[in-house]
Amino acid sequence: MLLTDNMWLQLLLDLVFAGVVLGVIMGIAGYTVLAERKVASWIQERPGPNRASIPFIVAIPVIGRFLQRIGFFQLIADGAKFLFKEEPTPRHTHRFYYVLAPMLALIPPVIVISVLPFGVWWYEGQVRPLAIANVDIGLLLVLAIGSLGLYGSVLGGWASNNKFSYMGAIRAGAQLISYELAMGLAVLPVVIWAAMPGTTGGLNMMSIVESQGTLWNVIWQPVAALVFLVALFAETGRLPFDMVESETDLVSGPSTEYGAFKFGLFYFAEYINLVIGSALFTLLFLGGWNFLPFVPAPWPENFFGSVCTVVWFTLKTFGMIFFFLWMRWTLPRFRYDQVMRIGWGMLVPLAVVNLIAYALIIPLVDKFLK
Amino acid sequence: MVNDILFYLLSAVAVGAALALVCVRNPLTSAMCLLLTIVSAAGLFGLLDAWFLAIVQILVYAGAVVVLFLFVTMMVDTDDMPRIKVSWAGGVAAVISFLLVGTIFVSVIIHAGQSVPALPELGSNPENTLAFGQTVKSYGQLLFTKYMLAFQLTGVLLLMAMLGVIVLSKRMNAEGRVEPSAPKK
Repeated sequence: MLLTDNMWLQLLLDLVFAGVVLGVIMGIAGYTVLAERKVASWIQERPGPNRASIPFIVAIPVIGRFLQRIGFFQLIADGAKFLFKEEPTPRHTHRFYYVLAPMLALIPPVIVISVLPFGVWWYEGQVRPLAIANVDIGLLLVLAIGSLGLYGSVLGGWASNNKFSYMGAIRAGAQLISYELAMGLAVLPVVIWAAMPGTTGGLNMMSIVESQGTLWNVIWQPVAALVFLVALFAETGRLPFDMVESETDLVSGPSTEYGAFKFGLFYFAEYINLVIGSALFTLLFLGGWNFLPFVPAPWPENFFGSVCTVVWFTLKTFGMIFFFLWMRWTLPRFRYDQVMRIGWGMLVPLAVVNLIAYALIIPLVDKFLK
Repeated sequence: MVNDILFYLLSAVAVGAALALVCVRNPLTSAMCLLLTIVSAAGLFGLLDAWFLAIVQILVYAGAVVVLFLFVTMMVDTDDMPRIKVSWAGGVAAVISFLLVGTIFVSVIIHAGQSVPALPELGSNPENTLAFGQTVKSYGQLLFTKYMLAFQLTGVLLLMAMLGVIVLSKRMNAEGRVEPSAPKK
């Protein structure tokens, strides 16, 4: 966001903005952990975390008790637990990579946050996205940097020098590479649609959202949306595709030998990936901050309108996060051979056929219907 | 100024990691050094304002190729790797290739005076009918106009490599059916 001509002031503003955005998304990711536990408890008909409390806040008449019952303070308790736990490092590990792996797991998703727009603002008569960095190749950057998160699991599994971790690492490598392909093929028709004649957009996240002004991609390109969603489940390692750490056969996969905060980093990276994945699906297929399908956005072009877009986008993302959690406690896990067959045998061919079909349809639509 | 510092930093990391890649004993460390080299090279592309190339470098090499290398090296027992003995012919070949690479370096250094304009400068030059520029669109246009032949040939080459893998890894029986590879006894 360019607000002043003073370079240093602008740099300071950018840093503050980036810090706030990162803080908020980290907070959301933290509370997603809580949401997961709460959703699990509701689905399994038990109360879930409802004990952690802070003395004086709980004393506030109605709100205090309510916050305690929904487990609002659980996050602080969990974080403190991770910080103060003893941190054993097993002797048989490869020390350097053992320490490096949790960092490599967390850094890529944090970088990806920087290019995701979460709303718009109007400045000097122009619509501009609210994002830390509005880059020309936003979508490619998300896919490229997102794929680097894999090194965390692979290195962690190898460095732990343990059969279960090692198996987890191998599965992580195979699964993520397989589904990346389907994912990349599935977004291509979306990009073609966003790169309308006469515009320079396409791979830019903002142009993808603008191309779904009234017609969301989930309605207009349902097959792409389905393939992308399934691949997203596999890429984030969420349950039907929970091959990497499936606890019934691999203890906890690559993170088996990790304790305290190092384990916390792996765990947290997983939830940031979940938040980013939900936001990405919202941007690509659920119209981003556009109001409803077939209804033009009613946001007024001022500060209040910007707030509306951010709130609306956040609500959609929360809806997607809930969907992810809901699936985890609904579907059983696939077997490993089934995961591979779904990836290569169903998703990739489906995505290729879908790409060819839309590559033929979109020029016709551009020519005759506009 | 910042760009100069970044350039020297990234180049140093790229060259250092490339050296470590061939010198280090542990194959996994070698793979990680390759990763570091690739990421620094992507950074160098970024310094030239070629963002698309930088990201594709990361997407293809760091995101897929090095992962496959890691995948293979992880299967190798790194503790008892035999030392490779360099043969006489191998040594001669190494010296010759080193001299050839050295020649390229020297010729680059000699021609460094006649600097090649960066991409944005090419784009702002009105004599250029082709759209040189930083945007992805200009890459696409160049790829499908000026470099169409090279693009198609690369596609054929990749297809051949893919077919070669299928032919080498799958065994056909007498009826022309693909047999599942038999487990080793």
